[in-house]
Amino acid sequence: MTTRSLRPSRPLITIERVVAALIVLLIGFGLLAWFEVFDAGLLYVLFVLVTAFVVRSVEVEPGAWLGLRAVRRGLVLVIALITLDFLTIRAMDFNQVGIALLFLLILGDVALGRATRRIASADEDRIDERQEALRNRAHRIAYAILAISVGLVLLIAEVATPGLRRWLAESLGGGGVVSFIQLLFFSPAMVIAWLEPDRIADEDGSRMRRNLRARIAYGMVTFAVVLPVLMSLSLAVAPSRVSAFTRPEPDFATPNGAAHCSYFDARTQAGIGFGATTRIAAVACWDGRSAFEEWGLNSSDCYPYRAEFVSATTIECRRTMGSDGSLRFTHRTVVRSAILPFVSREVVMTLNLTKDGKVVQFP
Amino acid sequence: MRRKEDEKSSTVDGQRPLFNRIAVLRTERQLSRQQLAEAVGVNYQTIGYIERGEYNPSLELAFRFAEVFGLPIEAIFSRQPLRPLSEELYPRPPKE
Repeated sequence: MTTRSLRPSRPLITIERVVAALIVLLIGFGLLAWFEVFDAGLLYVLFVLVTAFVVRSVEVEPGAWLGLRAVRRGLVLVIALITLDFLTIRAMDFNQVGIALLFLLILGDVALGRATRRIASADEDRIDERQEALRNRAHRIAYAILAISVGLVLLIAEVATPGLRRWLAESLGGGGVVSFIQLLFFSPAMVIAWLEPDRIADEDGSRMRRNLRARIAYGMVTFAVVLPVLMSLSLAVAPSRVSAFTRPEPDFATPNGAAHCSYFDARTQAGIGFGATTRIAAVACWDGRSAFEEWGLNSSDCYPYRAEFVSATTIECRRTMGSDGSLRFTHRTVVRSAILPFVSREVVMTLNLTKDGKVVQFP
Repeated sequence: MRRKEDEKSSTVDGQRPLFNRIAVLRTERQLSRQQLAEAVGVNYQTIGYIERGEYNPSLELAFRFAEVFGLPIEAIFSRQPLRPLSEELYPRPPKE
């Protein structure tokens, strides 16, 4: 696909590229802050970004189905509904509801790019005059839609009642960000998909050239789609991984005599990548008459140490003293996949210490 | 206003139809849409839209068609419905 030989060469640094770089930087810093550390979730997001970059470098044809305007309009409506639905998702519910919708949205946007041959964001030397005119029209309409949407939000925020304003703040703090990003980056493609006529059913249309880069790109897309599902399934299939150690702590005097103490640290990882880690980190002591907690075995200590694309709910957090003076602490958690909610696993961690300091069970 | 007119000329919305003989000429020269598209430097879908009358090409593109087919522009594009080429070559005698 080639066009203008008379078109002047485009400068390397344009205002669009600078703005795009700034937005990417902002999103990048936001992600770093969100994930706190480099972990599976962040690596997955980076992989998705690299995949998007590779896929963008491959030319696409919409194919028979996505070439039909009715199918494309249906796709646009589905994407619009998901975008609207994100406005109702609050930040605290995002893990439970939003992840699956986010994947649907990403899939929809990939299909949208294919349906429109990514005209909306293509370099000028990759599109012809008809496509350029279509893109200009789409950007004009999309800008109006974005301006009206943001303007409405500002208007509501200005005149809203306190209850409505609170709802608005919660919405914008959660899925509203996704809706905004969707409108900002993909509304031109949505408009193009809506406007463009049916694809010409050509007897000799250029078939998608399955070169190496295209194969790699589609392999990466498949991997990006399948990986979260596999990692979510690993929650039920893969065995839990346990690491634990104990370390003596300084003794101290009690009314019953000298007490000996140990530091107990155990982590149980459920799932691979997308899963949760629960932890016991505590100091327990014993003096020959009873074992007792020094710190770290309270209800406030029962929380997931790490949870990625899962919800971890504590269903039991109990410390008991046996009649024989033993100490027993149980931390039971249900880890449920956010992507496949029917996949879950129960993780139990126990510290059972006798009055003589013998560890019966840990973790 | 001028800009509006320019943009309109690149779409078929709200403007007079522009008829063309591209499909006939392409078939006559045994060119596929892809080959013609490469010759004039557009996407092959654009050729299809022009043939279907869903897109009116710019003057620049119209001249490129004229160069590829070796014909004057008025032989390819017209504001009036075009008669079949055979009729133009062998016009029917007027009925008495």
